[in-house]
Amino acid sequence: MKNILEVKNLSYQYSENDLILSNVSFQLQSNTLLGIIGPNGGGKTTLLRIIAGLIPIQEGEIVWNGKEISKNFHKELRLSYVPQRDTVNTSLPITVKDMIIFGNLPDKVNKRELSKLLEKLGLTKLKDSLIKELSGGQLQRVLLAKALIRRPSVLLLDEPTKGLDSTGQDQLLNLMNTIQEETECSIILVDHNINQVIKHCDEILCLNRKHHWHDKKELFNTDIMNSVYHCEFEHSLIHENQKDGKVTEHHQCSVHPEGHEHD
Amino acid sequence: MSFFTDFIEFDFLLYSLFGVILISILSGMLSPLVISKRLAFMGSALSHSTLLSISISLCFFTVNQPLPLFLSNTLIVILMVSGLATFTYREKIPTDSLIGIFLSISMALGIIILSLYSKEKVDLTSLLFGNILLMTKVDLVILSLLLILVFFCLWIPRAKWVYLIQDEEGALIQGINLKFYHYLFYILLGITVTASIKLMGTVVVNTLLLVPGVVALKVSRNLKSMISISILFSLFFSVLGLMLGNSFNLPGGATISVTLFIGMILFINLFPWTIKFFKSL
Repeated sequence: MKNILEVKNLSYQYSENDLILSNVSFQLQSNTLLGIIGPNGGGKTTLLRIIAGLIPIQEGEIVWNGKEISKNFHKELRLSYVPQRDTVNTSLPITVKDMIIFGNLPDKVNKRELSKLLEKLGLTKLKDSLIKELSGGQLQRVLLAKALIRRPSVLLLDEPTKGLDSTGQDQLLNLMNTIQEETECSIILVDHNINQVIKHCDEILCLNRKHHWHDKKELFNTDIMNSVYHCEFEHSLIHENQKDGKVTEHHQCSVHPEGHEHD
Repeated sequence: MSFFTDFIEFDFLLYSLFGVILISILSGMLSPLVISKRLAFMGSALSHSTLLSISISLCFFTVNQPLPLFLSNTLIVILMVSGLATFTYREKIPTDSLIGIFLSISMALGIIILSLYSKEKVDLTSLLFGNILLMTKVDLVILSLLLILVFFCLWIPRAKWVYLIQDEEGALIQGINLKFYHYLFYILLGITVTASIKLMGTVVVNTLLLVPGVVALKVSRNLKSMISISILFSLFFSVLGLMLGNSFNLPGGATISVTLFIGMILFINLFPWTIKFFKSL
């Protein structure tokens, strides 16, 4: 398997003294499902949007298939992005079928391919329904179908399970596994449900602003999670006072009142 | 019979009838996009801001010079809406606040310039509700050309417009030039408002930009029917309003506004019954 994505020392801040990503580095191999988890405001969506090319890089480097992000990299890579469901405007009277077809613009869609995709995502009966009449889970599947109609080699999903019950979450992520197996595409998804991510993803990126951990899911454990999650507030305050963003001395936080070392 | 015959007998009424037909088709095309892009307030701001462009233009030209007046108005409006488009492009601050500021400041400036430098006194009521007596052949030619321009700008890239409305970021990734279409929409809206203001006035233009779109989005089941319903609704009730106003000696613009509103209530409530009736046949 070859590296499809390489993120090198990526840093990003929305304003001065508000560093949301600091020196984030990781690699993603092709045909891998990477789950990005982390607390709210930890930079997950920002990272995904930078990777998708929706936010310009401030510091660091992103290499897709050995090439830096360029103007047409979405097309060259066949990259599809599924935004958070609530950002989609459903006011227009668009049917499910039409919405999926729009996903392949400017190219036309093969009818047989479309009906196969509708069947795979359980949307055949809904194909003539208006998108404003769909439930949250149904709309999520439509957005996924719209992204898949391009036959992407890379699929980025921003909180696809948001607002779904546990069965719905499980079904959707099972579907992601099936899609990955069948299409051999690489998938990066941002999610809050740690259990679901551990169950369905091959690799995990645990991210909380200045701290991140990335490796195979088998190596992920509670200690790692605690070290990234627990000191969300305490460590932010401590790290803000460090010029290089690293704290090597022992310090206290709510989980370790006796003090501990953190890198 | 004066309901119809007046429009054949008097040139100014015939011109105003053609003017209303052209403007209602224009706004019928734009209205669903205005509503679905959640820019209802934008239509209002643009129509009111024309006070500034008109007052600046009236410093140089008179009402009897329709073409230079229109060109000057259009140029100023394009500059203003381009500025507004820049401020609202992918802005995190709610855009309605910026549009609100634009509305009040442009109106206030318009009044000041009008009182200081205008070459002739302008009836502000006619600016609000229009004046059917002012329609000329030149205005009709301008409106016809504008109709063709708006039609092609919306029709050729129609799939792109739809994509942009429902998912801006998805469209961006698909390689659609978000910025270009953002500016284009503001400019088309600005020119349409400018060309319509003389006959319709700010209040009526605003109604025309909102009501047909609301009706179309409420009752249509696909994009083709959305555009068709919006245009036909706008056309029918605007012409009806003009004719009613003429028959009962009421102000034309205001009557069109009220007719559109009554039409909206009737249409939305009766539409499901009409569909059922036709299906049962």
